[in-house]
Amino acid sequence: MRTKRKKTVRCDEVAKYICERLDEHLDSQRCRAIRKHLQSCSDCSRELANLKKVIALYRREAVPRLTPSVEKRLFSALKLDR
Amino acid sequence: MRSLVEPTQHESELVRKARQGDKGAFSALVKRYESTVYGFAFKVCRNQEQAAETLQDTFVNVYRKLDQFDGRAKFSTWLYQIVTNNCLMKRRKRKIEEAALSLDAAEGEKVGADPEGAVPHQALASFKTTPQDEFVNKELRELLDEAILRLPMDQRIVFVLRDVEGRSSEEAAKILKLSVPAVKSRLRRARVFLREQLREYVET
Repeated sequence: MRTKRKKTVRCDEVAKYICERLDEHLDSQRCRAIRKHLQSCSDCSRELANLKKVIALYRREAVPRLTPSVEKRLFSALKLDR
Repeated sequence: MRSLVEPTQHESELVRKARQGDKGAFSALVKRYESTVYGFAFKVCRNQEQAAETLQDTFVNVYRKLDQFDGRAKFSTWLYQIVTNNCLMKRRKRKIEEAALSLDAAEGEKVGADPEGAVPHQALASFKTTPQDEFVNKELRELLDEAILRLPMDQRIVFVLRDVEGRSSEEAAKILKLSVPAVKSRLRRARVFLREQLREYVET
């Protein structure tokens, strides 16, 4: 009887995966193996957490509002009424 | 948070009328997307004045090229193509100006220290809390500015489109006229670079 080979992954594969497909919830055998690896490897899970923090920092950053003077300049350059 | 206005039937009608020379329709399109374009430009160039210039150049180009928009792509994808081109053009122009300034410096003139010509953006309303918070926020903002400004422009644009604006790899590929694997490769390099740049701040 054939036994199903378990897919294992190395830390460098995990690093590449989390940097390329962080927010893609794929369900392949490789992805499941990576998720399993992350549960048991503190180095990889720390790197993943750090990466998520970096993204969150940029994502939640406030963007200055468009000021009335900038909008006025824009509409004037386009010769449009506001 | 997705910053783009979702397309509606009304939008295609506005585009159609604007293409026929209806200034009111074009004005409505500008109103609809001006904050999106300005916000994206600011996230890429980290400078309010440069974002305002990019905003203006983008809509001037949109007006000139509206005839070329065939409706096969989403209007927002087409708009992002124009704004990203403007960001890249501005970067090239600044590189040339920097090279000219370097030549001047070699002849004894002073040169600004910031390679991007970026000036710190003003304190934003949402950051205003206590003086201590303000200090921490200012420090963090400067760190984020420094790190992202060190990224090559193509990686920076991919990072902003994918991770900050939440666009898909497929849409980013259309906007940048790249393959999806090329987008993913740039994104991976950008993420690794930023994580290394900000390691001390985010290390758990």
